[in-house]
Amino acid sequence: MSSKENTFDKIIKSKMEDYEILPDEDFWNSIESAVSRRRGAYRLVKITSVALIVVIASYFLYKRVVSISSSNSTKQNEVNEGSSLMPGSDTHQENGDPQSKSVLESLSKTNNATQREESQEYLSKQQVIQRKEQLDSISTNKTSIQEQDFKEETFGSSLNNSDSLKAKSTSIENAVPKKVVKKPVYIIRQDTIYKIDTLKVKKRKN
Amino acid sequence: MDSESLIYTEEDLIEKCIKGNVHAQKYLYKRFLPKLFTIACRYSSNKEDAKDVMQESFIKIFSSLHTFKKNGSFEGWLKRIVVNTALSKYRNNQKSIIDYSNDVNELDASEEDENQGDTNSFMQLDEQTILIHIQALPEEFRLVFNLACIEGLSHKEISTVLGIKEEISRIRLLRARKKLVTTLSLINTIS
Repeated sequence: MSSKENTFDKIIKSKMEDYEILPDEDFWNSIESAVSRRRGAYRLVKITSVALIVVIASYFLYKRVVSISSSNSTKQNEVNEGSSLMPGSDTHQENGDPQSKSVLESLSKTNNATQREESQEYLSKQQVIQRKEQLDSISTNKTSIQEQDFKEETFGSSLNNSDSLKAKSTSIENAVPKKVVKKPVYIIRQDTIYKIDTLKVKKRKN
Repeated sequence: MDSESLIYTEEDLIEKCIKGNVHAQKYLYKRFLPKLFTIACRYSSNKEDAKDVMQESFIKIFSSLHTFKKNGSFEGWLKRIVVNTALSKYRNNQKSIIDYSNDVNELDASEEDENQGDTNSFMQLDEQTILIHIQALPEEFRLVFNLACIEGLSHKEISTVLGIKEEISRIRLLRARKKLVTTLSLINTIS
């Protein structure tokens, strides 16, 4: 830097450092209003942020409380499942929590539906078995009638006499081949009906 | 109670301003305004821009008074806030960066001729005239001139503050000085 530059800079600096200018008289009012506006905005932001934090915190707290209470009620239901979950039970009415109430209702509905299905299935199985037994008995009766007809045809009217009938009955029993009647056996295990044909029951004619 | 009738010590003034005492704030404003407003005027092209800078500066001052470390000069701290506000306003308004690096050789050649006339004659000029001519400088020249000549910053510091190359800072200072010398010499001759 040359000496001329140095001198020029010094002159300007000394002149400007001592110089003072004042703005208009009402300039303070604009600064004051700007400062108070800024302070108000800052307060608003502060209050809003605090309120927001409180709302968020309370929401999470509420969510947590609800989850804890629902888990507690579920555990309670599991414990009392056998007796208390029956429809119409008083425990439903005693429980004041609406959420747990709804859980109980849904559980009892599910339970009822399952029970109904099982009972219907059981009844249908029983009906099938009864029907089979009826059919078997009919076929047995039919066979016995046919046998009787055959005997009558074979031995004729001589058998009308009761004494002689008694006497000959043993010989007829010996003469008539023994009828083997197949009686199907059904075993119900869980959901399946097992039909067993291999078992045979010998039925003698009286 | 009128704020003018109160006399605060510097520490007391700072404490009360931090607490939001309006009287203390007005006292601070009245006490430091003349010097701070002159700085704002030097960095701005007109009085209205200087007022904007001052308003922003006082908002910053009152909101960040708690950060002031009491081991330094309070007036110096206030001046730095005004200068930084003016610079940040310049940065926000900056639309295009003018690259003067191509003019280096040209400027080096003409550097010897720049200081024509007697610089001591500028002592006769009044402060207001000098200020008006500083304000009349292009913004990028004015900022570098203020930072270098009056604040006493080096070109390295100016390049960091304005985000420009040191070379460009040097060129801007030379051009600003040349312009000022020319116009002030002319006024001096006329008067």
